[in-house]
Amino acid sequence: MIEIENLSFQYTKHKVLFDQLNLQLTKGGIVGLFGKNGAGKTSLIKIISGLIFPQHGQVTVQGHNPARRLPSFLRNVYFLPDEVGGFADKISQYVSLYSPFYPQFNNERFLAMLSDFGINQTDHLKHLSYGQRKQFYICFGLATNSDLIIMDEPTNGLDIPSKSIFRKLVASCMTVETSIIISTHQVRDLGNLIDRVVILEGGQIVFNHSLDRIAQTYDFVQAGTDFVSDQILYHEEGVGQVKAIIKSSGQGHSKVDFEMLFNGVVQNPQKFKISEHE
Amino acid sequence: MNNQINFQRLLSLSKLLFGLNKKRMLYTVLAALGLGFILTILVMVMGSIKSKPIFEEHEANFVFVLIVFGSLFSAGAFQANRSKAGITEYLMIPASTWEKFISEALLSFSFSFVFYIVYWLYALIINSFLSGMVNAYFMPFNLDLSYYCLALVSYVFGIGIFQFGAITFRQMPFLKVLLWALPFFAIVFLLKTSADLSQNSLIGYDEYTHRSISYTPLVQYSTYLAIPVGFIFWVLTYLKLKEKEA
Repeated sequence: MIEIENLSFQYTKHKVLFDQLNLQLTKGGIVGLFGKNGAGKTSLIKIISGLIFPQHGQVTVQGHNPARRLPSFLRNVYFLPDEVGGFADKISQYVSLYSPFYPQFNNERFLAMLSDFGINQTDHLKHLSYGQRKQFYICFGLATNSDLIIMDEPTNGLDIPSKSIFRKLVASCMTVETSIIISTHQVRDLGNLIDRVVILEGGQIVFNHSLDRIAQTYDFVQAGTDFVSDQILYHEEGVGQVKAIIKSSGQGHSKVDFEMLFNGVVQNPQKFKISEHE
Repeated sequence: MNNQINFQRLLSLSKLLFGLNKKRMLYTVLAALGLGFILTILVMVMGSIKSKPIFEEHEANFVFVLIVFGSLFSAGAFQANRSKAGITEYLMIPASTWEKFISEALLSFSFSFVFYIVYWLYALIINSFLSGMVNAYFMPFNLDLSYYCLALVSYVFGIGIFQFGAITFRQMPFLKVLLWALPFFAIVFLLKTSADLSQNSLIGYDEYTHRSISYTPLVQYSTYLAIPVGFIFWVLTYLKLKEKEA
């Protein structure tokens, strides 16, 4: 679905963001794109969407070069930015003006999702709060039924119940044809939604593995402060306990702690290299 | 092909742009009409001073107001470019760059058409009501604007400069275009003035409308200049849109 080869990108001459970055993502599933502030998550998904152009390298998304912005590419890709606008007056006006561009737009599903968030379709977009506007755009994006939906910090501005509704809606919209990339630094918000973890650090993809592979390879353990193991890859000390990532013992799978995994990978990416035979 | 044009998509895009710009168009037409009315009064007063109480300037007023407000309206094109969120949303609309370019141009041209109809109605009302109230005779607004054809053709190309400003500058594109184009306008103005002063500008007389044709060749050429310059800016607008990033 997405193939990026030797991608180089920089905003200024002296600040190189990506240097020879490579990434391959297959069709289907929900990808969590994690990275620290300024790691280049937004830039990477903008390059994938064709909103900015790389200086070097090959980017292929669903067989298209996104930079060409072909209608056939754009109607199958929905990009939800962190900062949402809203030029139409009413939600119904927005839908009537924008939905004709998406042949697979499902209005019934859109209204149902909107009602899940408690938003009325007669509401004025300009009168909605930032969080509510975000909810509206999430509903619209999911209702387009695009093959690829890219979301940049979708949970920013959402309250706790809305984050839960967001997870429910995203999960309900998944089909074998749908791929969703969610870029965020709020790793916890995604819960058990994601199927693949991609971590961006230092201008490179330092981690790109499916949830199954992660669960097979690592154990996420909680133990007393006296816990000792030569298999510890990363640990965090809490009050009276230690949370750690260790190499899997192969005896059952523990629940993946995304936040700890992210912290561990960012701290020392080399330790989390998974070889092919693992 | 990125340059493909699909009629249905173009229609949807034009509908979208019109839907988002209808208020702006309405306000601009009203403001233009206001200036048109002020000009009517001014020309009437100046005509009275000259003991020539005949108002025959509807077409000239129309062309002048159209150029001023048409430029202003064109500078407001690509509304989405006024904000980062807006341009992101606009660039992601599933339509080709050509379709986006054409729909924005159509919107600017539709302003001219709407204003033409509204000004014609305005001239009709002015002629009907004010003729009997003031000591002036109102020439009807001639629907055939061929007399001002050159000015209108220049306008069609010239607004390309403002369209380019609209896609290039995020804030206050009209003022920024004026600022950047100031040296160009100054040269044209100087050329016109020097031509008017140094040559006999009365080179023709229209028997039907009783108007003098005051185009000297130099003045005419400077008006023609707007056509190639405007054309270049239309091309630049397309290229800028194609290369636009969010």
